[in-house]
Amino acid sequence: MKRNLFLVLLTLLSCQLFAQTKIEGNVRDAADQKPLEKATAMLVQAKDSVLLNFTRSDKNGKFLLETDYKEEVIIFVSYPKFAAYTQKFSANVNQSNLEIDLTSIGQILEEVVITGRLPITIKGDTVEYSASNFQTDANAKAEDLFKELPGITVDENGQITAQGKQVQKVLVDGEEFFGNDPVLVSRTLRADMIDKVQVYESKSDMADRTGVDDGVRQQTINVTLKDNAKKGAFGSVTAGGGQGANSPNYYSGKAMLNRFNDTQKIGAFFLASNTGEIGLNFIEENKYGIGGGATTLVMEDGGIFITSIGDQFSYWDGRGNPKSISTGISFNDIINKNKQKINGNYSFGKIENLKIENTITQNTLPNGELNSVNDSRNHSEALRNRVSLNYENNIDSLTSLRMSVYFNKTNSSGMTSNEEFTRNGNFDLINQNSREQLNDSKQEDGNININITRKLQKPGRSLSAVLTGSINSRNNDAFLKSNTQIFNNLGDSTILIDQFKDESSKATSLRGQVTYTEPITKELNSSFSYTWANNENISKSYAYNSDGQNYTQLDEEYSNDFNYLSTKNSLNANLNYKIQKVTILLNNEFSNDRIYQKNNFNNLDNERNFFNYNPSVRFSYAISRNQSFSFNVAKRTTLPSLTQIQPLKNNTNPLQLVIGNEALKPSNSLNYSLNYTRSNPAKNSFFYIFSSMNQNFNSIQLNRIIDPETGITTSMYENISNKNGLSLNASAMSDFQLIKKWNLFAGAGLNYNYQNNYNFINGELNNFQSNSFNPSFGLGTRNIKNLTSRANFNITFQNMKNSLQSQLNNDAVNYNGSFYLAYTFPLDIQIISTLDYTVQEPTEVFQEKFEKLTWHPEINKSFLKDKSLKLSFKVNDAFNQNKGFVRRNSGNLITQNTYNTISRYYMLRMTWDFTTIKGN
Amino acid sequence: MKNFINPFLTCICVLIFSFNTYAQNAHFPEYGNIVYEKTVFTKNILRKQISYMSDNDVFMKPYYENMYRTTAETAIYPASLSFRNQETYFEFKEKAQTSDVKNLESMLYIHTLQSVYQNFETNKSVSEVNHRFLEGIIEDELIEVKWKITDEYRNIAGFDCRRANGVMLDSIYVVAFYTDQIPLSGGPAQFHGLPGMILGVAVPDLNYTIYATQVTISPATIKSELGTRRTTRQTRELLFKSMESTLRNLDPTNRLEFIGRTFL
Repeated sequence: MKRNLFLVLLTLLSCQLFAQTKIEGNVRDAADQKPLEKATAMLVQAKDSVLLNFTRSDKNGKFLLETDYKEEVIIFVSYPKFAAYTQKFSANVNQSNLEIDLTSIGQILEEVVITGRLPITIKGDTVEYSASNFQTDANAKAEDLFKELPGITVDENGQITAQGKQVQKVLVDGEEFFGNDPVLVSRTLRADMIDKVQVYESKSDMADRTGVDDGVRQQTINVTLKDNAKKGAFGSVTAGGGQGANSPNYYSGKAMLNRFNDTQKIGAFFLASNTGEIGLNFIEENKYGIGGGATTLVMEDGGIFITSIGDQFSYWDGRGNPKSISTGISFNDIINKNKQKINGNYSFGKIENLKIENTITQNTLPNGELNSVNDSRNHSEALRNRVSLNYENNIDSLTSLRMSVYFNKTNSSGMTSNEEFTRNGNFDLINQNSREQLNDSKQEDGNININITRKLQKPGRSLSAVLTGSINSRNNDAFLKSNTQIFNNLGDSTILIDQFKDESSKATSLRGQVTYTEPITKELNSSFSYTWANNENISKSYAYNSDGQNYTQLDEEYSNDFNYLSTKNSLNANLNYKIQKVTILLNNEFSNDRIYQKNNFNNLDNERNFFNYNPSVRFSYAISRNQSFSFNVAKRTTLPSLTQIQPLKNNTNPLQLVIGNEALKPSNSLNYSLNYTRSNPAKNSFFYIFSSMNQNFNSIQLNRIIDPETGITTSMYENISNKNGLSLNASAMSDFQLIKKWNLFAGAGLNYNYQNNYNFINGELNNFQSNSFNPSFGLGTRNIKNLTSRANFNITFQNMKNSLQSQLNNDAVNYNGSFYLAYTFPLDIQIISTLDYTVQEPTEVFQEKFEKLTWHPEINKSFLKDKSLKLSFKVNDAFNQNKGFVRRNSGNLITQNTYNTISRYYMLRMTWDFTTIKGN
Repeated sequence: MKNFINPFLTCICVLIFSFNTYAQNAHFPEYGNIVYEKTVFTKNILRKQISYMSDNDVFMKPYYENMYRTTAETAIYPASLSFRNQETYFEFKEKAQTSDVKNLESMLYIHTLQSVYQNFETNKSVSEVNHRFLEGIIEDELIEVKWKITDEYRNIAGFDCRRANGVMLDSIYVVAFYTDQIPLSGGPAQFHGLPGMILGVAVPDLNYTIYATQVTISPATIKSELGTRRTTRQTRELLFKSMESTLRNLDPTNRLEFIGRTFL
């Protein structure tokens, strides 16, 4: 108790010691001298109005204010509807009994000042000034600009009067702006940032919010800022040349330019190389506004959807020695205040390539095996012109239109020669084929897509329509010369083909979809859509045999003339239930597909109708912001394709024949998936598990009849009705910070895949089963200046079994390791090293171990102050070990494919990046 | 004559008297409920973010530019505040927002504070946060504010308010309008520290304003216990520490805004 008392005393004492200023007062109504209770009394610093302390008067109107502030203070005393009292006190004052009499506002007469009015009107109630028409100094503030504007006056305190009325609000782009300084916006904003100054009388905040006009008007200035309008250009020029191991010279040249003026952008590029750089990469495409390859789409739920078309003109698949030239120009503009967006592109590309391949195939039969070796050589040249146009218009806040069109014209020609030998299990040669084919084709294809969305009055209610049309026509002239020799017990035979083929095809399609979404309750939303699609294919192929000099005799067996028509009608009903963290999505698709085909040679036609119901359910639970779980079940139906129903009879390779099957039924699958993700941003870690299972019913499989004597394979698509296929996939991945101090991150992943399929080989059911297990590990550094490094290692264990030849062991083990390092030394010298090591262990079929170590070292130095000039020296595949190599297993076929590719070369390269950007 | 003057004088006396009674008995409510509306200037937030991005950012920049074109100028969040004696409880009311706005919320460009309890007697603040780094409760002292009083007045929801400019969390500039007629130094969200209730707040750095639309003097229920027993509880300092590595990678203005959006 004593101790407590001491503490209280000490506190009181310290108060006395530290409180430099102490004011005791008494607040009364000046009219009747009665005390005013709960009047506000506050102390602020005299020099800058910083609030020091505040209190309220008690029942008797008394208050006590203290502060340890050591300079001049101001006391404010206020009471609602009374004029406030203000007095300045010198430092360290100790005032008691300060008598404060407040006067009611009703007794103070307001003084009204009327200033002159300048008649300037532009739009209705709004007077608008365009800032650029008024001259201000270089560093002028908004206030200086206001002073220049007729009708606006600014006094010494910064108080603005517009059209004679005191301005009560200054908005910037419609937002109330208070600036970062206690003064007004007019003293902080730079005049040259301003686009327009609008003066108008706005309704009171209250009327704005409630929609009920209370008649109160406030004089308001709205300042609209200039968009980050910039003018200028940037670009990059690269030229490089070098020498390689196989081909004597390597070169690579690239020039890119982007000119922009406000929202308008014009981009152009030129590229020529024989190093496999065929098109621009994704980053370059976006930076230079050259679309075509990839498109970025923002989904309703906020996700980003990036799609890219990987055709031969945009990327190289690693085969052969390509030589390419490509160039293009694009135009982008955003018009009408972000409402309309337009993008136009033209590009030209030319690719020349020589591919030399060797393929070894092992074909497992019910009783034995066939081994074939195929050597091919293909020289091709392709040339394409492409135009595309994208247009977006947000017509009003509720309606938007999106349209995209493209058209391609492609000419290609090529020469392919093949040599193929097939041996049986005893290594006896059973057949041999050599052929040569010349192709010359012209293709024109185009597509148009129109998308209109209209939001309706109720939030969540909307109507949208999509219309898609496409056309693809192709003409091909081919010469085929083929010599096939078949050796068997019954006697050897030879098939000779010397034909000219005139092939043409035309496919047109039109598709329309209407979707309506309707919120039923706050938690339950529904959507309905109807789709109609029509596809028409006309395919003609005429084969003519040579009469010695000319190709005049029509070969009816290998000539086709088909019409194929498919029409789809489908209805989609969708329910979405969302309550707090749980979302349930139920989808029902009813569709009817009609397929009609007509053979114009014999006038036989065939019509099929398929009705399908495909439901799906998705359940997701957002456990927390960083943790979520979802489960999905969906039924899917796959219709037989045109080539599966009626493949065009083709004799290009007389040893491989495919027969159509008009009796094919749609195949069904049930897909289950289970996903879980978790992240911890504070610890820079994340973890996920994705798993899925597919059950296939009635699946369409390629059944083969292989004549063990001649090696001729006849394939036919058929439904496997009594055996269901199954596939399973599960992967887990974790990424985390290993050592915080070194910014070292580690990742570990695990992948498992299981396949179980059935097909018929020579009439016998074959069950193919495969298991693949793939653990992977990674290590890398992040956010370290001058250094980027990462290392990855993964192993794949694969195990396969064909029930027809269960004694064959097809187990395979592959390893892959890679290491990347980039380090920048002083003087802007950088080294980059990319190392990749791949091993494929020998298997029972392929007893050769495949191994390659590729290393691409590079050293570069940047010059100039802004490092815009870079000189680099790079060695591609320094150990000269790069080979094209693929081993593949599918059903009863095991193939090994080797091909030519680019290996060792060195290259000296110079890159210059330039920018000229002018300010506003 | 006397008879004539007398009623006249009485009349005046009554008038003056009644006026004075009204004035002297200005009502200072000790409890009540306030409806607030938070207006977030979504388009301006996006515009600012885009201006921070480099031209080389081909992944996020087109995404933001696209969003900038489709998003509405503002997003409105209704909220309410209950006050009694020295305590307040503030919370946002549920309202369906557009998908663009939901995106901005998930990217933390729009508030993450869900509800706030403030006690001015014990200097205690409890706030519920829905943040990438913490989905739980921050328990701490009230956020310190340095206020400067100005001579500007504005009527908000029928109350005469005085403007004060303040600095919070080191350098976030805020503007507040408070009324001395509600004798509680509270306000919406984490704002407080003026000689009366704050009825209007603007935070230019974070592109939002909160204004009261209605004040009712009705019994108030104050929720002082937020979350459940299992909810994670942290101090501001601890949360700040866990965000450190993210903050380190942001430029100064962006860092300041990130901190502001987390705590205010």
